[in-house]
Amino acid sequence: MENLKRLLLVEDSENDVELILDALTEINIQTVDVVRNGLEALDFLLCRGKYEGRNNSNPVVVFLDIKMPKITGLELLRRMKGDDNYKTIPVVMFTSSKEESDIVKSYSLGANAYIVKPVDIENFTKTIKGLAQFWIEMNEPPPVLKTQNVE
Amino acid sequence: MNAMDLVDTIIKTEFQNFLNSAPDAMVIVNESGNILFINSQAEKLFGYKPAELIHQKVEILMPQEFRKKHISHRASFFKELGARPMGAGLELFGSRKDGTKFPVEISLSPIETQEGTIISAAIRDITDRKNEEQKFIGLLDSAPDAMVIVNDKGVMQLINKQAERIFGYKREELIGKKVEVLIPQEFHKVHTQHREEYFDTPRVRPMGAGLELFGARKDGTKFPVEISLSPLGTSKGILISAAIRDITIRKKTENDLLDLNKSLIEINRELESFSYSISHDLRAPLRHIIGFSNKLAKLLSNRLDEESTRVLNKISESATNMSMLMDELLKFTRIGRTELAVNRLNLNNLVTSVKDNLIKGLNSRKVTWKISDLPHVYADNNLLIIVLNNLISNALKFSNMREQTEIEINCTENEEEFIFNIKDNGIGFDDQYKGNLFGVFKRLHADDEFTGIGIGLAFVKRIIQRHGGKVWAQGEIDKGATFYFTLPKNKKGDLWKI
Repeated sequence: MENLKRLLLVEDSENDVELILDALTEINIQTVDVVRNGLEALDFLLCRGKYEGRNNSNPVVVFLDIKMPKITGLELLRRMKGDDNYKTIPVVMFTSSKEESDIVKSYSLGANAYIVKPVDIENFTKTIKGLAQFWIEMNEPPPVLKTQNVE
Repeated sequence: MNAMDLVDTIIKTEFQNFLNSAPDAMVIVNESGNILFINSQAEKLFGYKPAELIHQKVEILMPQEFRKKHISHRASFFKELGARPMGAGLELFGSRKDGTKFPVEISLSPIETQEGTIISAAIRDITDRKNEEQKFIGLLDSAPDAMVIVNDKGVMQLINKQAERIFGYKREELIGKKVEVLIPQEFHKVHTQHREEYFDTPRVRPMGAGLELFGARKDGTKFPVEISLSPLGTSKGILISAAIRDITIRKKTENDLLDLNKSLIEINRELESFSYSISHDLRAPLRHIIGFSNKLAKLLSNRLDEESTRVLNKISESATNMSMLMDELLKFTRIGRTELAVNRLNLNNLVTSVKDNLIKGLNSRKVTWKISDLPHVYADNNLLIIVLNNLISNALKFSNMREQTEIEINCTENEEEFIFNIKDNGIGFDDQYKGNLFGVFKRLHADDEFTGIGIGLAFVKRIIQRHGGKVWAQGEIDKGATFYFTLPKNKKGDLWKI
């Protein structure tokens, strides 16, 4: 199967999720798992809770919002980058926050990119398409992930 | 006269000569208090002839009110003989033949003779010294601070009026008491120790550097004080003068300021979280409005008439416009918060680069620039570029209807500051509205007449204020406008930032 490379979208805004999925559909990327906060993302990555025994392979990239209920984007980032099993998965911060403190913190925790959600929808759509193409189609994911595919 | 009597007479005469040469008045009395001898200084001092005094009781030389007491003191003195000053801690007075009283200091010494013990009293008139003391106390009373003078044992010697007032004691209640009376109980031990150490190396210094000091009033209440100590070399040895200031009001003001500062920090924090929510929470809904109205337009694409398309576009445009306003507002609050990076800047270079950058977008407009030689200033480079960019682009914008635009940039100076002005020959403004020029989102012209959202001059004002400068403008409708701003010549602290 050519397109087993999956994207994990961690985003609490229902509207943003819809607009992002619309944009990705336009470029035929449909291998997207959507979770709504950091806690759900952890459950997904660790295959526990409602994701116990999930069939989907681990993502080749995580698009991560910052401001979310329960576990925030920064906290999830900290846990992923501190865990040997997950720290090689590229994480792209995708957030409305332009706060310098958020940017600095993200990079120092090991974020692979920091993208501010463009305010106008045209740029927003263009950006999300560009990001997905880069990270899913162009970027070579870390080798560990290839062997980590589900049984 | 036999030889012994002769010797005796010679000795007596020698002794009398010796006593007469003493600087003090000398009076010699026997055990019963009868005067045996007075020297010539005593004659002068008391105004009696020797004959009038010999064999009189010594109490004749004292004011009436002290005589009775003295008789009993005299009796006890003979029981425990020894040279000593008389009436330690008491004020002593002598009485002249004419009945006038004067302050004296007396020192006593017993002399053993064949006829029993006799007492020699050296008496010194201390009227002058008392007057000096009185003057000194007057001087102390005129001091604005409370003054307390103590000896090396910590015993209070002098107290001024202010000290009576702030501690609530009468002078005589304090003289002779330990200075610790004026200090709250809990500090007594440590103060006594400090006091003793101070006497080892007395020098002028504030007391308790870095410590909070307290005084205790007679009613037991405590109050904060500031104390400065200085040693006084006197005939009685080293005394310490302490100037004490009640700083209750200052402390209260300080505390009020601290509280105020705390609440300002709190307000600032709220402002920060407010701007964070502007940047994060309010942007998303705007994007959704635009995103979903676009989606609607696509869904209905072949069914939408012209009017519906126009309405949908209006929705997106308004949302886009609002997000732009929010971006600017956010930038504006950031300018208030970020540290200034003040450096010495060459304004000629800065103006040239800002101007050249703006000229690129002018196409074929004709612009005459008159820029005088500008000074070096202390300012934040990036922020000053925002100021110049706003002022110069405004000058260009509001003169775009002129055949030939003229822009002048000049600088004058006084002792403290440089005063810059940027003048154009554009449409100017109605002077009565100039108060609105520097407000956020205030515009003097209709939206469609000139581009911009009306925050540029608010940026200018905030940036210049943060540098310790001022902004103002002059203009007249259709006669051009001049914008002024000042920058202090000396590098100042951040005057404006909370």
